[in-house]
Amino acid sequence: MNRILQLICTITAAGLFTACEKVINAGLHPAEKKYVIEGIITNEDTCRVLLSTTSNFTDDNNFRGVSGAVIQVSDNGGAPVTLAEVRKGVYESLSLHGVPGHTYQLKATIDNHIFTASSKMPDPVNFDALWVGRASVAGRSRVVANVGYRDPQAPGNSYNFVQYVNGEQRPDIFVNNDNLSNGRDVFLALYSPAEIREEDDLKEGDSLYVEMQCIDPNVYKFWYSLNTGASGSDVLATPANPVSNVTGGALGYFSAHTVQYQGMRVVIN
Amino acid sequence: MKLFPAILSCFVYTSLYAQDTSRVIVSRDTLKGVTITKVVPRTLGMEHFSLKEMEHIPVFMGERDILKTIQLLPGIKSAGDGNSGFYVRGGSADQNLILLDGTPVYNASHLMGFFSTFNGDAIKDLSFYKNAMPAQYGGRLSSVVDATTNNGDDEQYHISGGAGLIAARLNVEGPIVKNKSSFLLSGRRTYADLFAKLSRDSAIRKSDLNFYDLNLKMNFRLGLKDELDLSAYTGKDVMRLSNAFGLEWGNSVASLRWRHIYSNKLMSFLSVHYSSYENTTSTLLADEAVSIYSRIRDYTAKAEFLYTANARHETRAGWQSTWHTMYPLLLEGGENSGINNQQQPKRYSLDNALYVNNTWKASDQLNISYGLRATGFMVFGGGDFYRINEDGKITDTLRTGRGEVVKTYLNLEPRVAIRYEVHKTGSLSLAFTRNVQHLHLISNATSANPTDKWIASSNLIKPEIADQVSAGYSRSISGDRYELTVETYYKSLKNQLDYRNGAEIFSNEPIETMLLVGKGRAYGMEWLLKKKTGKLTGWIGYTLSKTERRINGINDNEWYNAKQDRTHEISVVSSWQVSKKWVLSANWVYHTGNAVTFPAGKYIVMDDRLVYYYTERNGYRMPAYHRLDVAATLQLRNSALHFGVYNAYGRENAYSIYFRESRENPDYTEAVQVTLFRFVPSITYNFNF
Repeated sequence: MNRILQLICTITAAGLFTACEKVINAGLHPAEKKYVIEGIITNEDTCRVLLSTTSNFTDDNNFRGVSGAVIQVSDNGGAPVTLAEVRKGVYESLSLHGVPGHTYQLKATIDNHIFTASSKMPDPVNFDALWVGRASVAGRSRVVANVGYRDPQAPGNSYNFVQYVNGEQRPDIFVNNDNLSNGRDVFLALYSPAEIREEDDLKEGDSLYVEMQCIDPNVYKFWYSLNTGASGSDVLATPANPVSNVTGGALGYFSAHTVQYQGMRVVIN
Repeated sequence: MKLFPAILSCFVYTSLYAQDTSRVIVSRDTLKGVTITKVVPRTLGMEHFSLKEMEHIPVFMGERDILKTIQLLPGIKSAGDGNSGFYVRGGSADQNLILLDGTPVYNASHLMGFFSTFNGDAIKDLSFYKNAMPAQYGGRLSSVVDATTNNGDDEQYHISGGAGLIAARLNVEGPIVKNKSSFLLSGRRTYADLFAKLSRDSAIRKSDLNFYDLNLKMNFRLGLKDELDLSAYTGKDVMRLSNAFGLEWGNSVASLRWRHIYSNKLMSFLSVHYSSYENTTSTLLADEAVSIYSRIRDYTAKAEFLYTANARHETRAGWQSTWHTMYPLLLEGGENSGINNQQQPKRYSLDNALYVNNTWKASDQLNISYGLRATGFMVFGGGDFYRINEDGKITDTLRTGRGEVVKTYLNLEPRVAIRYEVHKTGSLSLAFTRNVQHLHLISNATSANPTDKWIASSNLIKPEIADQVSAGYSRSISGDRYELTVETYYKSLKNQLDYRNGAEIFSNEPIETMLLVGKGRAYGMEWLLKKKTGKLTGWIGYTLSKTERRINGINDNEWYNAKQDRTHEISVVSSWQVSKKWVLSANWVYHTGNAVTFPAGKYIVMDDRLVYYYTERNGYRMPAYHRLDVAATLQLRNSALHFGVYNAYGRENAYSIYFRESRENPDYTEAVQVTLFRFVPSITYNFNF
């Protein structure tokens, strides 16, 4: 749900409308399957590429891994390392160590299709703070996670925050860049207008864990455009596929990023 | 910043057709509380509707709204419930020139488009053109709405007004100097949010949702040959969700016009105009208010001469210049908001036009109107201008000074309309119109919402150009009781703009880097059958049309349906004078659902994050829209009571459809339709003393 519906709620409360929702059959027809590549390499020795295909809208939401691809990653144009398939559609290497400042190239070959991508791992920016605070969301006060960092003076930094509550990853996307906040202390509340269900609120005693990724601006573009265009919840803007840094016609992204973590037990004052 | 896309997504809610009639005149004389029809010569591309037909038309929440009512005519598409703007013959919402006493109003909508800025009490008449605009009109591609404010009564003082469920209105008028000068002051304010204040929910109590309109008109007759008009309007909308999120927008316009009669052949009109439109979006970042502000401000001077050589020739010629100042983005945040205040450089431009239009009655059967408008749009410097490559990356920055002319666009806009009376009751018409547009409302997904941004043509953004040809046939049936008109048109549009995928609208990047350019085409056929006399009056309109866009970078560069492409559109409007006291009226509308983009499939990233996959742009349809509105008017002495029900059979029209993980089985996905409302009853009391 987004804020427009909040607004509609308010207008409804003002006695003007009675907005209602119902599940419908939108009559979606199946389309040609596309390959999806999700590749990450971090400064913590993770190098993993997921290769899957799209599924039809009426199918279940499970990952549809694709076996038998040749996936190679190279470091700064060096000799490519071939990733081993550890599970269906999941390819990993333990011998690649991501280094900030290096550019990584990905090449995936499957059934005569070749997909390539490249991503430069940015220098890490320190993850300074994690705390919980109150924020007014959808007309009620919620407890939400907040993160803080100091953006460096040089422009061009992008960030992605992944939130885990009691070990479970939250589906919201929290990306930010320094387009409007270059060189500043930045505090972000990790809540998304897309999710306003009460059961998703943080509660006393919850284990909260946040991963901060310093990401390549092209990967920022992917997450940003996914959030605005392909999350399904954006009810009136014309949706579109996220802007991918993978060439060759596959969906997805390849991200070389640094990772840092902060965790805490939620205490509500 | 992550919140801005959210705000944007929220507010991309609001989002796009004669007979031998391309001009419709709605007229009303509020002075005496009676309805009159403005006498309009039956010339080319012109038709009039008496207000009697219009006044009883059921309207949303009982608020009379001329701009809403014309959307029941063929060729004019309402953007739909909860969406502002209207679409004329395949044009976008920003391609309608909306004039109040000759001054452009940049956003003529209130409250998510449910109401227009034209307070029914203040407006005297309205002319509408969807083709064959005479050469004195220009600057927008698709239509002209020319509304005039009432003059006050120059003999007696009157107070009139009314109250409905949502708003109250008050209108005061009278002489300043009897029989020489008059004033009219008219205001409207909504009070829906007063109900919100009674809510038990504190967040709703702290929310604001209101708008107001204030119109002033003063008229001075200086002798027999001179007349001076002062007109001013201001209005504002406020929508605020507790303190977390808000939207405010408003227009202010003013004009001073002097009419001078030199002889019974020559008249002149000199005027100056001011128009300003601004909007502010505010939100909270780290508990600090952040606001985003943009504005457009115009100063205009006009001179026009009307020369009637003889009964066969009427010539109108003039000049106008407008100085536009655009404030594209001002972003301000508190100390802890993590925002560097941003201000994009103001953009200045001078919009000049020189025109001449001649109406020639070549014979008793043949009328020809032809004209030429020459425009010169000058982009002035001050701040940086850019060169960009195909990917939208800046390749070169040009530093410019304030007085420097960065770019000039010269265009000629020919207009021709021909009407030939085949026989006493029927006529054929043919028209060609070219229009050029230098100001562009940049909106996401072709939707019109108050946070959309007006920008001017620049060194990179070229003027939009539209060419339209239309042909029609009109005839009276059984005396003058019925009138049937059929018109067909083809329109081509150049230099149409849309956002690049993934564009960050609230950023400090130059807007040119975020835009894609393409073209459009629209064609269709419109039928209108009117019943003009008798106790039962009204019309049936039907439009069959197609509207497409082709923009490089969208839909694999192939043609696709514009959002407002609706194949069929029907409107039935009727009013029945039951007795002297009672009038019953009803209208029914039907249209094919808007073209929309739905997912072709889905995939998973980051373990369980569901992403939708899209192929064809606007390859799907929203469900068909239809609705019946009914109203009854009880005429009392000096007052009237209106009862109405909007959406009388409670059709659940789709406002939007979105997709999510199924609530019942999260392993699957589902489509959810949002409906804004079913029945909306209203009661309105109007008085006139």
